[in-house]
Amino acid sequence: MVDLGDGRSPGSGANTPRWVKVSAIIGGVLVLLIAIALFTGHGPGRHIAGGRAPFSGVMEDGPGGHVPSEDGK
Amino acid sequence: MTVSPRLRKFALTSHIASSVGLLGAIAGFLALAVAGLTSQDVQIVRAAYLAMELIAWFVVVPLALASLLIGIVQSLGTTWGLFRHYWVIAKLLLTVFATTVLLLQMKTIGYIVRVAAETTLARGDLFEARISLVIHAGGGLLVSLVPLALSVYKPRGRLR
Repeated sequence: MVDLGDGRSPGSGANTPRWVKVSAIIGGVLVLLIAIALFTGHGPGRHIAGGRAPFSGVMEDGPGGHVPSEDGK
Repeated sequence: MTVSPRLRKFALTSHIASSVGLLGAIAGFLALAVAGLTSQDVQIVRAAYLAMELIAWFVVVPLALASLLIGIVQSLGTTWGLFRHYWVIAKLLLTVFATTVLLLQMKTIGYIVRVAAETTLARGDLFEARISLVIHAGGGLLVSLVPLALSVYKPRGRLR
């Protein structure tokens, strides 16, 4: 995408270069691992427990605050 | 599609600026993610997560989208093309992948920030989500370095 102006003409080659084959294999393995992770429940947003925070932090709604109860209030 | 040398240089400058700027923004984001995860000071933890959301929405996401869009437009306006050389295709795939992961992570970032703003996060609170941010930021930084190297080295091989 970027031509940094080094004056080099676009490379050519009839066969697929080795770096492309190696990268494709690595990329394929990574895609497979990501797919497995997604299907086993490790996808994005799994840290978000239905809008309720699974934490023990102290609410700061006044001096001293209070520890959230079971219903999150 | 042929573009004038002036426009081509402007696009190239914009693409380099957005891509390299993205690297710096991710590095700053990573530093804040590590500080949020490891600091004992609750003020630093809160400040780190609040700053992370701002940096993510107003710097990282715009630069990632700008880098992707400008790169596509630029490739179509030069002899390199978008689907002519393997290294250009590799850059495109990596940038699309990294941008997608970034956009998917925004929900997690927003969640942590909301909790950090309303409560005092203890060291173990939301540990998995917080360490996930560090891992994704570190991975994003590494992935973003690859297109940079590809742009400089331009490895051989063309599709057609």
